Amino acid sequence: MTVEVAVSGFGVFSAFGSGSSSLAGGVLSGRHGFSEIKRFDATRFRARYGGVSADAGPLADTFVEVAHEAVAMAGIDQAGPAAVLLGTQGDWTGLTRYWRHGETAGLRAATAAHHAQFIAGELGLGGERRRAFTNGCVAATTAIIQGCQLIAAGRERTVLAGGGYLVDEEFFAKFDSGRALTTASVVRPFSKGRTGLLLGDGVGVLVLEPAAAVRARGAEPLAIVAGWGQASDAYHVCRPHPDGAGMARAMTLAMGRAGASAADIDYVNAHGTGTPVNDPAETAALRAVFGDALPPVSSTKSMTGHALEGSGALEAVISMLALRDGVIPPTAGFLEPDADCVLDCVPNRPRPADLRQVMSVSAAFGGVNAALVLRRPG
Amino acid sequence: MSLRPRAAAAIGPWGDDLADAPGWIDAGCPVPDDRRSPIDLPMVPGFIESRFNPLVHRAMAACLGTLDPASGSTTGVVLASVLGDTTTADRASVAVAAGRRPQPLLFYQSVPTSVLGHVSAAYGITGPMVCVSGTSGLYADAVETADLMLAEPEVSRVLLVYVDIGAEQRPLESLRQLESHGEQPAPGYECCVAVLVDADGYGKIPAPPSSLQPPHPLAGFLALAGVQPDQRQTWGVR
Repeated sequence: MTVEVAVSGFGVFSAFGSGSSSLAGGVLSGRHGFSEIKRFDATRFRARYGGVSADAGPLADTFVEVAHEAVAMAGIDQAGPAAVLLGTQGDWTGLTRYWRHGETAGLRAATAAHHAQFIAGELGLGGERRRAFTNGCVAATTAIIQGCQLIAAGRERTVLAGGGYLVDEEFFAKFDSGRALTTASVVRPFSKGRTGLLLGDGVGVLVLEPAAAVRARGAEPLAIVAGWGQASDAYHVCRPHPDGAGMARAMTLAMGRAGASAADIDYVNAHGTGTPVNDPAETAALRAVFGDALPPVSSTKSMTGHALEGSGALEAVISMLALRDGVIPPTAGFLEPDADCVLDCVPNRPRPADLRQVMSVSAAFGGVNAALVLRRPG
Repeated sequence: MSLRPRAAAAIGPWGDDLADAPGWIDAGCPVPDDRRSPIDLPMVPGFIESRFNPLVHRAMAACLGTLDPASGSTTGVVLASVLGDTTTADRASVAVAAGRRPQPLLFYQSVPTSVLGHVSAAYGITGPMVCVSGTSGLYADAVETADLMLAEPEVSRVLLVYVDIGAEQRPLESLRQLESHGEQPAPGYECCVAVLVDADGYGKIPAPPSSLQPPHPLAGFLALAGVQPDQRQTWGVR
């Protein structure tokens, strides 16, 4: 018998600050959260902007805060066993402090897997599975997928899955050096004139459970994770396959698992980095999968920035907010159509819609791709 | 064990021949002064400075070279590492701390999927590729990740790769910090083991509890590769 996997709670931190209300207030109204970076001295870099919240504490504390929010929303017993699976590289501000000041205290938190242990300890969770996924910008989506696999296989009853990244000097410097960041103060995914991405804070944790277990305690699932897919490009170390081959396969696998046809997907939350190479490849993938039945597609990175290992969790939460509120978040910063990105990208203004089933897409360096299909319960 | 090894390769203080690993274990797991494997590793095109990517490339290639080229679409990859590519991380971090611009290639090299992209392109691997980390029980984490991957109908085999370099001052300090909190995470010397597995009676045998895991990931991966040392108690060498 197939176990239906439900999201029973979620917590989130983003450029808009703490909690899903502030996130919904931003992305579902089409407002971006970019500002000049003050968290560290960015004046020596080409780029100076990011989706940076002034309320952010250390990554470990933010993970705990977000996990608390998710568990409270789910209404589960914290003393029970739960796996903790996170997409993260760790808090690399500890590396900066080590090399700048010789501090060793931050090195533990700079280790990826520390954070799952830390959350479990702070929340008093039982269970043994404490894992970090470090596969770049699909890492949080991978964590969510593995959480679903564990529940579907009957190995766990409760999984806290997600990921996180807070804009830091280490990754900002590398992305700036690699000329991936735009020097503009906004991101323009799928638009003519796009010049690159901006980084953004993004920490999200979902509580995953068997849907039957959620209903058995009188609660209602917030969403059903109906399908997931993972696939690779076999193409390049950092460029996506120009045909979006791996991305298309991940989407197709996710839809197949969900038993969904192209016409059944009402909205796609795209990876949509706003870089010259990603957006045409992703458009090609979407065209290959959906053909003429291509639903509205938007990139919410145009408002939150790119949260790297956390982006899959942040965008899964945004997708659930869209399902809940019946609003498609727009692609902000859109100027005019690009012939290489012909799709309905919901330019600049949110759009009311009766959303039943949506897809969230993630991609990473090395041509690693993942997709989730989230369904409104009922 | 629910995973059946099909091919294996290992690089470490014993060299790059898996057959030499048991002798190294019998000798008490001696570690070279520089904590590196005693072999030359040609750089991978597009990657600089760090031995992390050449290690991964060499071990993966040794296993994937045995694979039918048509098998790439049903092959997945699990890359496991406690500390990841610490050399790349530290080269960039030193530059940042000194107010210099990091070398542009370190931008993508700082993510472990990049080298997987290089290898997957060479061998036509289009299945899932996952990178997992853990500070205790990483072997169990990686094996279960492969196990779950194999339960997906589109995956027929998984290349499991364990790699840690951890041979320099900062990663050794990181390991000390982790150990001071009761974790026994990684060897502290350069090693990489790759094992190509497929399912053997998947679902009949659950993953072992973490309490039964070998003392650190290398022992588990070498055991998966077919090395069965008699002196397992010596494996905690640092």
